[in-house]
Amino acid sequence: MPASARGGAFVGLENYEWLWDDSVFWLSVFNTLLYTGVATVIKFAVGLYLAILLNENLPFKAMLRAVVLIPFIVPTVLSAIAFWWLYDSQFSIISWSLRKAGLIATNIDFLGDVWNARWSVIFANIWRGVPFVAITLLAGLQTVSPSLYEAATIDGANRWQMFRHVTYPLLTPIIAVVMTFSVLFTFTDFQLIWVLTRGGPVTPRN
Amino acid sequence: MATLSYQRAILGGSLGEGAAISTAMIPFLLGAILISWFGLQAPEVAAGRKQ
Repeated sequence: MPASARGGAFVGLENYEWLWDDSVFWLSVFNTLLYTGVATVIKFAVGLYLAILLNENLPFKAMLRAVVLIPFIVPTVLSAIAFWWLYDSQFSIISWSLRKAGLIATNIDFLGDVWNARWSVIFANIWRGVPFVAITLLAGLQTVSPSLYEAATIDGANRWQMFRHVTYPLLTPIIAVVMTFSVLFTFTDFQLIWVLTRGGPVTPRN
Repeated sequence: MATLSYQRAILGGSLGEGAAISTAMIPFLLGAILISWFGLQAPEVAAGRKQ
């Protein structure tokens, strides 16, 4: 009788009980929380800065906005492969540049060391996720009426006070939505981690 | 966690373990979403909802 045709035995919560005592599972929880926490905070900070910058009257504004979107447009697997080359232990252009500049003596093992691998995948996720935050916050910034800034200027507010008391309160509903989606996407990220590390280093599960 | 779930369920053949890891993500995910959703709401909006 094929295995699929055999009757299964109900095990209740046995799989969860087994997980509770599994150190690799708790390590993966730690890695996921670290990855989500660090990447989301940095994506928000960089994305907000970029959104404010793109909201100014810059030359080639439309082109700059399109360029900012590029990392988000590229399929995740393709950008992950590009980062895989960048992080290669032998042929990494980052290691090559640092060696040529005399800053390091040997190549950096980006994906072979546990902490290097963590920061490397976090950086790749930030690079990919910043455009989403920036463009969404930019859309929110454009709904803020210029008359509010004019009133704040008349009241003698400086740039920080204008951001703190005009921009930020009006942007908070958008920030809440963006951060919720950002946490959701980052927490459930699979493609980037799988292509870059296969769940490693050390063991294929770490 | 998503990677570990895939490895245990698809590559390792332990579908039950993989499913357990996947569903164990839900409480963490829910907590993170609740913090980012309610924690970042404008104080005026939160106050308005209470009234």
